Amino acid sequence: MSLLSLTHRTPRQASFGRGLVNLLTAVAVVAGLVAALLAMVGVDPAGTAQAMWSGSFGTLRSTGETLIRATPLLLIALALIPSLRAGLYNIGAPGQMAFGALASTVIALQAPTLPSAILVPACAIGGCLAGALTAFLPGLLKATWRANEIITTLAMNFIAVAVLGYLLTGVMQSDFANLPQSDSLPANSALPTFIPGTRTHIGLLVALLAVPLLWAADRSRLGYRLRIFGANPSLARQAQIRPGRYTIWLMTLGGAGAGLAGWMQVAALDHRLYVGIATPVGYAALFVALLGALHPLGTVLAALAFGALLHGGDSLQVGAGVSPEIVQVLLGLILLAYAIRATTSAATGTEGRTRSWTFWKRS
Amino acid sequence: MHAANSVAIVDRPAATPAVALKHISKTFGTNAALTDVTVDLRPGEVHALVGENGAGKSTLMKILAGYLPADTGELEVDGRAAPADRVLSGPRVGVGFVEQEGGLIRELTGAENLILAEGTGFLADRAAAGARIRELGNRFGGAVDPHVPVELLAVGQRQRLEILIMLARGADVLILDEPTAALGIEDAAILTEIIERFTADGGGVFYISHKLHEVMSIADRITVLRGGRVVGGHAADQVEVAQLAADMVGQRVAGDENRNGNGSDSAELIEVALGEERARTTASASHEVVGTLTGVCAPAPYVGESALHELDLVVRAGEVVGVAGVVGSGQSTLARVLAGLLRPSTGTAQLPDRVAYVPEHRHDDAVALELSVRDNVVLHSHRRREFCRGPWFRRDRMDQHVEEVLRRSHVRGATLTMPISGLSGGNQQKLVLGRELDECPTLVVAHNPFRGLDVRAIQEVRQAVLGACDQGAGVVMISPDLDELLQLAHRIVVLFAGRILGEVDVADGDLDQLGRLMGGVA
Repeated sequence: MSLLSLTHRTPRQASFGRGLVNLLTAVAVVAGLVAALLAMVGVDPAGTAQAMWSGSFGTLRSTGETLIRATPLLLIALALIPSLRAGLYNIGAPGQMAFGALASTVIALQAPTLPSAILVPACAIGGCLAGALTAFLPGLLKATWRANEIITTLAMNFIAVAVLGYLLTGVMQSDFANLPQSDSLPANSALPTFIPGTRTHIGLLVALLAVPLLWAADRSRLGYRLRIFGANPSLARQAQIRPGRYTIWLMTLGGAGAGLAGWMQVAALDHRLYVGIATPVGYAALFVALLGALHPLGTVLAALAFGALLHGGDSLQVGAGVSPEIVQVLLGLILLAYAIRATTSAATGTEGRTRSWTFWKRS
Repeated sequence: MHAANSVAIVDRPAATPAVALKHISKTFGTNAALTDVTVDLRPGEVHALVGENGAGKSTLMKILAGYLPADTGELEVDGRAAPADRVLSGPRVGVGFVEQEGGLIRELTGAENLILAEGTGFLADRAAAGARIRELGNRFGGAVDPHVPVELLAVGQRQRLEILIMLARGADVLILDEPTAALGIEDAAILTEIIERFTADGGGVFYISHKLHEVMSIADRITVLRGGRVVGGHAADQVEVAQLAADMVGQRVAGDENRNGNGSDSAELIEVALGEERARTTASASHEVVGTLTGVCAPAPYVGESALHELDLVVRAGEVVGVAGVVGSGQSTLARVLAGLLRPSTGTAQLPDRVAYVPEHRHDDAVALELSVRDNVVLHSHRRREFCRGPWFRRDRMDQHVEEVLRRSHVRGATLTMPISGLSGGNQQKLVLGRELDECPTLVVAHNPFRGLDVRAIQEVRQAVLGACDQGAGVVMISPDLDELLQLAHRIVVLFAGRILGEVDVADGDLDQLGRLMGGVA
């Protein structure tokens, strides 16, 4: 329900203020709950928060780590926003990201001697195309046979895991590892970093570039047509906007973003391919987009918050003696709180069209 | 809780009104929607509320149903005070509100809708729920299969089903908002029958309508609202239709410069309200053909509608062709074929590139409710080169144009950025028509264009259609309401089971022939 009510908001009305209020309320409620939980198991909540904060923003290095975590989340979330606004639920980011990473890895390993100026873009394009193709197929199925994109993209995720597992325990497995992972990528395929003393790579700039692009697209003819398509497909047909074509493009766009994120993950950070390359980023990105109320700036904030939580959680064990799994609890609760908030605000809308048992009918 | 018990109202003294709304006021922002309105409803009566769009009828009924809070005022149900100042989490107990667009969930069956509405959970017995609906259907004379998904039912059946579900939930007050707006003659007759049996059983009905003749025949009492105030209360057997029309329209033309200059004065509007005014077109039908269907067969777009069989139709410039027929005879199929949205399976359709199309279901097909007025207006014109700068728009020129379209089509109270859902139905309809005519079409297809509109809006929509006609467009107007067609069309073709059964020249005015054709007698 909450998901649906979100998509019915259009870019114009996806009011940034309201999204922010929703997000902050959710965070406040959840912080209270988690503090209570921590106090119950005998840990000092304030100390934990302190450890969390210094873990994610305390030093330049930790801030950089937070940004690294936020980068793929942001990129995928922004690429998903147009399709989510149109009511298309592409939940295949993990699979698309994995295939993107796979393509980048293969290119880098096959042409390790190419100069960096050629190899880095080649890996990026390869990853982008692989992700796009992975999403193109569900889009095509949806456009031609109305196959539910949630099912098909989910299925692609399983296929991606299986393909990676097969390759990484077979032809691509490193000779120097017993684990299912590939050889190390050549150094000249790595992304340059741009904040000294951190691992923050130029992928962040690529992701941030998507913000003005999205903003501009909203005001373009294409953005207008997408808006009509998302709001009323029947009307779109009358305006000679072909739903099938837009479905395919929107899905493909989401896949391209995820593919790029996969490239960044292998080329900038891990420097080798492994089966779990897309966890937990792939699914989390969908939530980031939703938490950001499908608004570009809201999504930036949400990505930053998620990045901080993911990285800060890792430092909890050391800083406060708390199991890092508490972050998973925290994330789960945030989503739950946000979902409840979104549903109630939809149900108490001021429009006067509130009906307890009919408000989710197609209007 | 058996439905049978809850509808039977036996022991209530007739003096206690079933529902009494006292001194209700409600403002939206600075706009007073209702001012000190007092109405009541006695058991066993039909109380009609008439008035133009925006007169406050729907707002009042939403307060009664608990969908909207009143600012001030009191509400009594069965003589007991009930809260009027807050939104209830569901419809008020005992009150069933049948809205124009229908409130059932299309994917579910009638029985499932009932179970959902009652909130009895997933273990609820579908067969029992269906049996209750059937039993009520037999009792009130409107049997509908409760085990078929709602989306497969025709409009009239959906409405009957919704009424039956409300009765099953124990409603003893029904609110019917423009119930006959989309109904053909038979369905309307069945509805009347249900209303009669329901009131005979002690139920009360609030009946909202613009059709004054209909109101006169069905209502016991009539209250006229204008500008959020009660301006007339009459017993139906002691009032003339002309009086109602005059109450409704009021004498405000002199003081209202907004409404001057578009050719509608009170007398004319009263005539429209009475259904007596004949359309005046200056254009005479030429011989220039603007659209031809030859031997067209096309599949029905939904169940309950007829497919087209070997249909021939010629539309000429400057004429209004009325399409009459029982609802479900292929009107929707024909409209979609003419609008270019449905390709004929055989036969040829020679149509112009730009067909202006006013669809039957405004919310489903004609507007994007949550998008802005601007976005809705530029649906076609956003492609014009003058509004484009590279991939972007020239906002200033475009906005200027949108303002112009709104002004030309007499859309009131619109700002460019507000969602179109904030406009009344009549203004939405005028906007849709304005948008479509903005493309200088040579063929206009209007399906039920007056549905749910008040007299003033009807008059303006009508003038827009005739204006297009004067400028050389051919108009196809589809409506289940013969009076509407007779007032506007030059000739009327009658659809029956997807075929054109015959044609009547309106100038000859052979109504018997029309009636026979609609019944399927060639």
